[in-house]
Amino acid sequence: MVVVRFTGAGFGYGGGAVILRDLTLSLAPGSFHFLTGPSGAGKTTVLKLIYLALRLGAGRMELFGRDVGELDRDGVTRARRRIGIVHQDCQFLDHMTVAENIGLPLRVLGRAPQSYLGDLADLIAWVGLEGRARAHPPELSGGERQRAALARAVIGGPDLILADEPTGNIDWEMGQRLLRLLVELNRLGKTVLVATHDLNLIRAAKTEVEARVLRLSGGQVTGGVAL
Amino acid sequence: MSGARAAWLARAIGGEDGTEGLIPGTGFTALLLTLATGATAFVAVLALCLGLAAGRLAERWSTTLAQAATVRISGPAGELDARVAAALAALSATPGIVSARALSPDEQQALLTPWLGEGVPLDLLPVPRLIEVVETAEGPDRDSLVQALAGQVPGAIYDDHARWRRPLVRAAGGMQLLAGIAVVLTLLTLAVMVMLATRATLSAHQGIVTTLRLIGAGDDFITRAFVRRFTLRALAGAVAGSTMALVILAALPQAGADDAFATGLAPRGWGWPALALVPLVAGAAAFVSTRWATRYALRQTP
Repeated sequence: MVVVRFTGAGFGYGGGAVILRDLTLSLAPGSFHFLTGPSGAGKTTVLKLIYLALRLGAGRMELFGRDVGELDRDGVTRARRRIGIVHQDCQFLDHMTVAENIGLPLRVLGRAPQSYLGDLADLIAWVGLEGRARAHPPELSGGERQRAALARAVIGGPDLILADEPTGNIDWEMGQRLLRLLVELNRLGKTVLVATHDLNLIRAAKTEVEARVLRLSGGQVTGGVAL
Repeated sequence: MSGARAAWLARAIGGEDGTEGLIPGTGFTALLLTLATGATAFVAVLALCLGLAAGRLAERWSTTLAQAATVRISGPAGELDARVAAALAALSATPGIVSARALSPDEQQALLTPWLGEGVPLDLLPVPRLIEVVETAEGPDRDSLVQALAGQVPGAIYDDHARWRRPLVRAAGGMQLLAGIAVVLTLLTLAVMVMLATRATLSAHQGIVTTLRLIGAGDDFITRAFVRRFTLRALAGAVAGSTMALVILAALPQAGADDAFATGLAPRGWGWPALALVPLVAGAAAFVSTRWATRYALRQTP
């Protein structure tokens, strides 16, 4: 069972320009993919389609083996619980602490904080934010925000991790650190898809992971090149 | 209410269900909501009090002089005693009359004292004689009795007080209806205010809603977060407003036991616990309206 499969997928925003046309793409379990392409090519749109913030205009998409067109609202919620998302702007709840934000996916599952405090502390240490757990998101640097977002994305034990331009607002060194965290997750069996136009990041990954690069152009994936 | 719904309600407004603190607790909208629900509850309590007082007034006006009537007999002084006797005879023979008694000169003197002062020589004035009549619950056939008195006792007028009592009872009933409408409208206004505040907050915190949805929060969870925030705020405001109204009402001068018609605005007996229901009803209105507004808004969120 593939994690994500687009078959002849098409999408355009509100009757405007077509962003994706006849897109065919699949992500196998445990794979690591970079989705690259020029600005406006539709990288973020592909991610939004995968995490079901958008619906396909044409074609078919399967997520975890199920046709997403058949998912009702609860089905969408259940599917999202299997996906960890690292947004470029992170999307934190700014009135809550970093630790509370990272623990949110478990709270929405109904877990009592006492039941996951240990895991939360381990995860905060893993992303190197021990001293920032009680800070609020606006107090964090760009790199710290990205690492906190990654911690939040993985705390629920998702099968698929999506990262949208994760290194867009951080320096090279921090980008490398984030990449290593994503690679570690992939080694644990998580499927990872990173949308990025940062070719340096992709080159750096060459030594770290067996990844494939998907190039999005003209609404279609034109590559599937192994690094 | 089903067990599942009761559990949902308990978790939404009281229990630890993970939604605590998800919606920021500060903000002008939240403060306005508390103030507005407080003011609305204050008005609702006063309107309810007015309704209860009007109810008491209507009951008092309808029962105080019900089953009571007066026969007024006028005429030359030399014929008054004979006419009174004839009227008493006619009344005693009429079905629906329990008793009839002519007021003594001292009693008539006492009735006139407030207007004419002490020691008025009634025997020198053309004052009509009065007969106090007590009717059964069904009362007499008024038209037949009036005709009989007119035939047998010249100058006799039968007055069962209905002429002035009925409009008063109607007026009190009208006041009660108006107060009831005011209470309902006030609570509806409260529900609408809470709904608007919820929608404003949902718009202001759309980012929070979107983030929660994307990390896997279901509509039920997000709804509980908003219901908790707004129901508790509305409840707090309503409790404060109702308490203020009740304190003011308790401080108002109470009507004395000998007041024939004045009843006072403060509630009596079961009226106090009835007023305590206002904040609960306000909280329920806030709960329902927040839930509806949140669910409606969530339908627009992917």
